[in-house]
Amino acid sequence: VPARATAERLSRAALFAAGVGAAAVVTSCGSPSVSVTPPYGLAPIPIETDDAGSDASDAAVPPVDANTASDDAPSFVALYGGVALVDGGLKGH
Amino acid sequence: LNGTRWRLDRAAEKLNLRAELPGARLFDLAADALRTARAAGASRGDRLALALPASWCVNSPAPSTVLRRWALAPQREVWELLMEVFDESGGASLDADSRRAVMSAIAVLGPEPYGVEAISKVLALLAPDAVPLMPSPARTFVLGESQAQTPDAFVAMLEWFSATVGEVRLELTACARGHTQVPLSAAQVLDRLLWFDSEGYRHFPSFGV
Repeated sequence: VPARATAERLSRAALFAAGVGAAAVVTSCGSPSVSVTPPYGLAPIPIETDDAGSDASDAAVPPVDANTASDDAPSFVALYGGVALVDGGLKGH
Repeated sequence: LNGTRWRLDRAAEKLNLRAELPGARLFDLAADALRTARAAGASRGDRLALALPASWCVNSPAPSTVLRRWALAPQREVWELLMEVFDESGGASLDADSRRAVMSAIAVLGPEPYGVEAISKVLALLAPDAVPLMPSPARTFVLGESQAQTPDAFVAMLEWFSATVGEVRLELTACARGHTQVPLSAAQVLDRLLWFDSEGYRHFPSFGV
């Protein structure tokens, strides 16, 4: 059975995290939107740096166009994406 | 199950079929590697960083933005303390204080509809003797349709898992020893059989259930 002190620390940490919320996470990531140059010559694509669902991320991330990638290069979503990996068949069963 | 008993049968067959699935096999190997890393003294933060992407191997619904949120303060501290709770419990039933603390942590880490499932798929790597995989079919199989979707489902699954492993530990251990494709503990055998009977059998139409 876990020590009571550990449970208390976990409760406090959860309470603190609930109070801080997503704003602190965004702050810790820097600016709301940054651009990088991916390898394989793809055009720079903004990467969201705040949590999914916010207005800022919705505005910053354009639809991924598979045609921007060369035939033999990993796509942006394959390199960086999470959900998109499902569609690529790389994730899961 | 509506109160009926769940019969654990054809375990070796089911475990072997599961090991054929590439994602599932990688997940089991990652869990074993994380067990080794823990024994070698790897920090909770390092093990968490490895477990987050590995959870995708069994179709975690959490996107990378959520995994990143979990890897950063303040939620990273919540994860590490969750790991500490399960490290200390060693798969035993949690006391009331710990259950409340775990429920608070789950609520903070996983407010999304898929939160319980995604969190379980990380913790099943980090604390495999205490936390089963909790996709919706598994929760429904164990808890029933109505309770499977409640905030209490995570802790209810933990309690069922701990009690059931204790009830049939000898049989599960024998299954684990007989399964040579990937290393599994007794608790992991129960979890994999739960997955197979609640959902996984659909991958194998010729199995016949």
